[in-house]
Amino acid sequence: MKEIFGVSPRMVATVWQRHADVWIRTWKTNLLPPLLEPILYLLGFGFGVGAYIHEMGGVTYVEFIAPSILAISMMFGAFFEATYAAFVRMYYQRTWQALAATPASADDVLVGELFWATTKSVVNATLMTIAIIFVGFVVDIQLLDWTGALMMPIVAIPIGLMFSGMGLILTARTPSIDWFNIPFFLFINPMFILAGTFFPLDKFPEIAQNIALCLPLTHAALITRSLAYGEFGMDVLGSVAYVLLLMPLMMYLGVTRCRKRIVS
Amino acid sequence: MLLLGTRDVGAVSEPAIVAKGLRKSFGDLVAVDNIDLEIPSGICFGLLGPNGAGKTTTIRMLQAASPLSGGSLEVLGRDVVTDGRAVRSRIGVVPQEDNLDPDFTAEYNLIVYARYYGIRGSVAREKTAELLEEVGLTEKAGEKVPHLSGGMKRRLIVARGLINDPELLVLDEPTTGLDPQARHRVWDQIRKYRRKGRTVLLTTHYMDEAELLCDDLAIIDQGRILIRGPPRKLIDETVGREAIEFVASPFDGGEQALDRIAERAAESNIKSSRIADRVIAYGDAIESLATEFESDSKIHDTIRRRATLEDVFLQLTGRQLRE
Repeated sequence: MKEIFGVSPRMVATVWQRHADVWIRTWKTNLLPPLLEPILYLLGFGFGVGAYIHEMGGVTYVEFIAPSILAISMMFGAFFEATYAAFVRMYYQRTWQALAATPASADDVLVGELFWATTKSVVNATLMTIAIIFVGFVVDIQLLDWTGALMMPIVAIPIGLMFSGMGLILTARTPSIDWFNIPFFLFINPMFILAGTFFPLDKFPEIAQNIALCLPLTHAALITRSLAYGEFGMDVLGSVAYVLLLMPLMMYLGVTRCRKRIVS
Repeated sequence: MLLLGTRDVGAVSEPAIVAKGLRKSFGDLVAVDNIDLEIPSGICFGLLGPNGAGKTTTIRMLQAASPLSGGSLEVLGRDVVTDGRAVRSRIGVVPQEDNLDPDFTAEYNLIVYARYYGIRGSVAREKTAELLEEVGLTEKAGEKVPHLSGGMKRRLIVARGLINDPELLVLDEPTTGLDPQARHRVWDQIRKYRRKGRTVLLTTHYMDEAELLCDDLAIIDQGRILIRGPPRKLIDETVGREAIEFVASPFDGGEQALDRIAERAAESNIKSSRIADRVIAYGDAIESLATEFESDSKIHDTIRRRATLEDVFLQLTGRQLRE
């Protein structure tokens, strides 16, 4: 069987297909919640708060938060899948163990998890892009640059892989499913607010700016922002480099840490 | 030509499993302690022992889900360390736990599992229908897993383990927690598969199950093999054919009565096991013991029966199974 670093692409695809099968069978309950929440943010904050704020970072408030919400939906798609959903498969359903008894190896199973979690990022990015364009039509504002809109599902791939790798690192360590509340409370939620998503970073105190620049969501949001505004300038290259460096590192750590949960 | 011929003969009688100096430790705990074991093809082999004896660890090593701490392990002529994927493609594993996909139907569980062996499309559907028929689940094909009973789930897991027509079927405590009827159905499945000339390796802590199904077996405890051989031979050699149980109340002088029996057995060179509320004596000379103690007022009951594997185990370890 063909292998890349000991991982069989055919087995990874088969693992991925199993997750997709489950998702398709339960799509009614799976599709709506991750979409509704960001749309509520867009409408509530964008138009509610936006009515009192004429301009934020040089654009209207709804234009400002539209790309942020895209980045957030990419993060949540991958992170949720690689933590809570992966833990259910690993611990409650023992799916990983069942798959590792077939020709698929532990690494195949885990790389399959990474790709599946990333698929959720891409799906979220695609649906959110369509929803934002639709909202834009209704209120007669172009919220996304057309080329940028087409690029959203593509940038969701490296961003999704980075966040799903982080998720697997946590899954490797977590003793119980409730324990995920801690990283969500201490890491994901603060990032959600402070990563230049709901207000621009340049009004922050300098130390806060530097902290924010270390956060992965900050760079994901800078990338989606530049795409949404149709400005693919040099200033976003740093963020692209950040994601492209962190992505393989997180993937590697996620797979190697989680391996012990299957092979022991 | 001659060399080729020799190889062919070798291939036919090639053992299914060869373990040499097999070891596995988790920190200070030694789960498998220097096991040498060769299991020929085409038989049903039992790995017996109490919980924590090292049975599940051994099975996990067979499928390369547990790295070896020492020694070597070959399955179907392939080294599990270097060739785990190839080994797994030719064996079927029935785990102890229920790890079926709860979101899928019984049928779809098998179809999805078949993909890992490269079985897809109409071939997979036919194979699935055939296996469901074989385990008596055809009518439940469209039922989701949570709606199946424990016995049905177990049979479905056995069917799943057979999806790739394995040369070796490995079952880890296949009937633990099942009601008597469900146990018999699982036993039937194992026998059916065995009759095709394939190799079966099963672990159990039920001695009756092992006696019924296994051609050959090893009793292990604390990671070591205590004894190995065909069940009837082990019984005959270790405890003989007959056994007699003296049952007493553990209170009101019953203990002392049992102690006296055990003492007398030792004096007369009769093998015996002292457990909880009874003494079990073995061998040809037990009738003399019976005449002496049968009428003892402290002895409630004297049971004559055939010796079983459980007696072998008691003799070897001097204690009860830690269930």
